[in-house]
Amino acid sequence: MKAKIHLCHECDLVHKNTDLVHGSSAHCSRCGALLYQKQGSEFSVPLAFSIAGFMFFVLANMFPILSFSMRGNTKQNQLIDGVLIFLQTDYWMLGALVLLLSVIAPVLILCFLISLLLPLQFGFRPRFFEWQLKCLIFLRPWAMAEILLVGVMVAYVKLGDFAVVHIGLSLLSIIAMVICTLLAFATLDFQALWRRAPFAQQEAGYV
Amino acid sequence: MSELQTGKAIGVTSCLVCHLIIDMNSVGVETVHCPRCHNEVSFRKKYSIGRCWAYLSAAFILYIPANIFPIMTLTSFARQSKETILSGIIQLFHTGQWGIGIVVFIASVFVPIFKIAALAFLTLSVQFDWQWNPFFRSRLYRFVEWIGRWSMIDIFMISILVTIVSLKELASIEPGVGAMAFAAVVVLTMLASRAFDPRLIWDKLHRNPDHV
Repeated sequence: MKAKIHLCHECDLVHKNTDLVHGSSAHCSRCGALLYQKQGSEFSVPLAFSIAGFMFFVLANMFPILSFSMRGNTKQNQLIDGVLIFLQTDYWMLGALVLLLSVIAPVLILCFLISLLLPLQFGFRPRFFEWQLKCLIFLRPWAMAEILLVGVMVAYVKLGDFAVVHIGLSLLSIIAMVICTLLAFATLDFQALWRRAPFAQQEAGYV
Repeated sequence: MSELQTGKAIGVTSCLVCHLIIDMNSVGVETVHCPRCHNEVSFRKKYSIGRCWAYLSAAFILYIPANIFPIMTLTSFARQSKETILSGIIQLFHTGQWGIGIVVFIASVFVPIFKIAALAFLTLSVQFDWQWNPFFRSRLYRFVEWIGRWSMIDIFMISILVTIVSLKELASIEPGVGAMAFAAVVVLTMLASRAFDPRLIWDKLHRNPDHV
């Protein structure tokens, strides 16, 4: 079931819903905001990117991000246990925020994508469909793995002034994870996904 | 399209989460729960201007301690050096790291000020029905929403430095109060930009702009 009209979320202008060519997007004729995108109705491509992204996340936890040596002492920094040390200091609130934004949100997004798209791929209905999709949309702006990458670069440059620093394999895995997440969202048609949601269409008046 | 019509004018609105079109005429109340995703749906975001001012003033107040207090303290051989946001950038420039210095300057100094100023301007503009260039204001809002996240660079850098530089007496880094205030500024401005409803920019226009 497809609605006949579409409202711009940024200026409320009414648009006629038209069928788009695969891979194209519709923009508001008044304010220029993105209305909707047309992707393939198959969810296999975003699913593949999400699974790849999740595997890169697992890899990112097996190697250090940075290693730092000074006068024969070496310290390594890993994705999760680094933040866990932070949580034990007086600044645990800051540590919790960093943990949420740089680790939990990015990996939860991938988990939600997989648990939504994998059952659909095999013809099952995912459990808690609307709830999972809503969480995914809500969490997306708070997943900041790509910003963590720039933070690591700045830390690398700063440490280089007074010690020997090496970049670990984990950094490459995080880069790959960020790229996979971006591609999964770029190939996912959210409107097509919402249309799969089971809800009673006749409940109230929908256009 | 020949005539421009808004959803509110014809009594229809769409869910901001799942884009479902909901006919408010047949419902008869101002706020309903979306039957598909159960999100709260109304014609415009509720108390948008008031919520935006609240988040913005909190962010503005916290921006002062974020810049005055150190974001981290480096202890090396019993010597302490405190670093604030600005002194960290100046140090990057002194050691010749111009590229990274400019990135950090944009992310931690320019973006927070720009965001607070731009959102205050947008909120004022809808509060007092300014007619000036709605297309530009719309684009400004979209830009502010996109760039806000990038201010977290400094916080992530501190979290990495704190965990990696912990060699007891040789060198160790502790986070500072400034970092806490700065993280709060970034989160609050992100919440402010989510509370703002860009549809208000177009609601109060006396005429449609010529270039449409």
